[in-house]
Amino acid sequence: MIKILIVEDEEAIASLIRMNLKNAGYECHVADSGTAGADCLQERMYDLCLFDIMLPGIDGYELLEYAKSLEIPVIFITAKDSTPDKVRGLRLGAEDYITKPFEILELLARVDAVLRRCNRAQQELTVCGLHIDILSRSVTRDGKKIDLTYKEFDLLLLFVRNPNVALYREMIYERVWDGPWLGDSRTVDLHVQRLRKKAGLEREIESVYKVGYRFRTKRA
Amino acid sequence: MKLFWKLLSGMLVIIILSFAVFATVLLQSSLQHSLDKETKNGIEEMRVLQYAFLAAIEGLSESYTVDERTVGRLAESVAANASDGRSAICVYNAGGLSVYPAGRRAGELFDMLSVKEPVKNRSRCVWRLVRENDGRAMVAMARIDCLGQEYYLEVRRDIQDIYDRWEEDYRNYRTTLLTLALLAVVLTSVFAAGFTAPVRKLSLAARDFSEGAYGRRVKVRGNDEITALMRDFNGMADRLESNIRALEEHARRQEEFTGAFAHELKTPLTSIIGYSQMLRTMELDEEDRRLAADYVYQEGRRIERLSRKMMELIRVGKLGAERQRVETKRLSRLLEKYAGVRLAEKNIDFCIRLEPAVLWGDMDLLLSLCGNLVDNSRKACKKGGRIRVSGRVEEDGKRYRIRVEDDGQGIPENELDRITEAFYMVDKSRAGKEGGAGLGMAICGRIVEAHGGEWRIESRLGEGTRVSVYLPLDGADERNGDE
Repeated sequence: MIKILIVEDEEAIASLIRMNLKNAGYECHVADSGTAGADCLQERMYDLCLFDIMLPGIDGYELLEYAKSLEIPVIFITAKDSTPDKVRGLRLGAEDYITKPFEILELLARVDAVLRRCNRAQQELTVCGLHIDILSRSVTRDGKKIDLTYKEFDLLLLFVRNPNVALYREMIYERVWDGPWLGDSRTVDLHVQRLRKKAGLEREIESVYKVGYRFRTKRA
Repeated sequence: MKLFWKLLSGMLVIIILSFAVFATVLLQSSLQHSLDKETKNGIEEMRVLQYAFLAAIEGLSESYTVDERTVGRLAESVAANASDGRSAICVYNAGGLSVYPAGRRAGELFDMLSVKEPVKNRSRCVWRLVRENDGRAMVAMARIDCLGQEYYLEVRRDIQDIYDRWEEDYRNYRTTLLTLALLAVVLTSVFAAGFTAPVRKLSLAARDFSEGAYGRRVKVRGNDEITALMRDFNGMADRLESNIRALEEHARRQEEFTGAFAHELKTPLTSIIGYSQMLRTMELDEEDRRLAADYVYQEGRRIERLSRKMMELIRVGKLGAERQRVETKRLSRLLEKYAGVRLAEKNIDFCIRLEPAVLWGDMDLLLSLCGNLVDNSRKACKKGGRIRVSGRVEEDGKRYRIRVEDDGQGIPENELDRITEAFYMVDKSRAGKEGGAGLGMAICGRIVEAHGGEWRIESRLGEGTRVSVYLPLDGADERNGDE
């Protein structure tokens, strides 16, 4: 399982990140100060670090140096949203820079992207009898290949990565089609119908009244 | 037209015109003088010749018949003896025909003398300056009585050399004028350049200044009107610069404050948005659901607290005319009530002792000041800590000192001068738990400033903090105002 270290002195935000990453299937550790974060890094190996910049004790930039020496990718999560701050963070070697307030889905997508970029993400997933190979974008069930279009595959990944989360149609549209939601729900509905049929997920992908869809699996 | 060209052309016109007028007058008068002298000489010569002629006639024997031939011979001998070579003699008879040398006809002078002049005056000498083909001459004529016959003696004196000399002077004058004009151009342009240089310098400096080089000044040397103007410019620039710097500093502080405020808003907003998103999209178990709802509530309260403190801060900024008499007795009572509730849960030993006096200020703000200080002490104290509030009139009788002491954890020395910055928190995670917005000390600082007071913060890490605030007493303001 992928292990993520969160260093954030705001308790509310730390738990928010922890709860959501846990739901997406990651193992999380939280440290509430720079010094505690450094201790965690010393004790065990992590696949990814999420750091706030302004921390009591050691600040985020210093922690970044430490994590880099251990070859752990780092994402900054901070309220400092000025361009010079971002440039500094990225220059120092952070993989990404997320500004508060952020959307949970965006955080998950970025975490996933960084993990994939650093070859730490799971390249293959098995969910409900479906075998998904992310690198080759192929899906098989019981050894038989299922042909999915580009968007259908992205849609499937979105559902699989956000299990038991009600995904609003606009969220789905913005993530998969990568554009602003214009209120047309038919595109999303059509693709979800086809995905259900092709992948045999009629029961797992359930409609949520007035909201959208939810991928239901047993909790890990 | 530029000032340089104005000065240059103006000065040139004045110099050249004055020289030209002066030289012309001088030349003309010198010519006139020479002519007058020559005329005088000519008339003198005329008289001499006239006498010489008369003497010669008188010297003739009685037997001689004086005819025109005789007169002609006489004239010839007189001319040979008396003439200095410059003058030529001519003798005419009464008819105006020349006797010597032959073959001439008398001119205007003859007409004047023989026809117009009355008879008794005819011995008078008349003269005139004439211009002929071969130059200028002075012609004088006088009548000679020669044994009953009238003859007219004409002396023609060549004065061309005077004019020649004059013309040479005139040529010299023109050369001099030209040289002078050139010299004047050079000198006046040097002068005009020197005169306009400080003006140009000033203009450049003003342009630099207006383009944002607020440190720009002009070097001032000398003591004339232009240097006075430069000095004035420097004075104005000093004032403007300090005003601009103050405005910039103010704007920078405002920007920093806004930035810090936005930052302070983002943290609770992130939690509220995140948790409400979870509540609306995920099926959470009972415990997580309550936790999420709790966070939304807590962070919402935090924003509320922040906005209340902001309002307070804005109110302090507006303080001015609302100052009035504040009795410390009442302040003490209200503060006790305010602190009582808050301090009970930490079981803090709280004691307040304010010497009775009347302060000059705003009751609500002073209460807020003391309340904030007590709150800070409460946050610094452990359970069962101690907070002391004391107040007394200072020795000078003008100020009142309020002191808030605690035995809490203290403030690190290197953070002491930053704690009045808005949103600065010594220990952010603890401040969050204790319900601080990071504005308390900033508000206190503004309240003290608005009252024209002073304050001092002393702290030892692990031993406690002591804040002393000095406020004006009622009546002290008027006394200060008189000074």
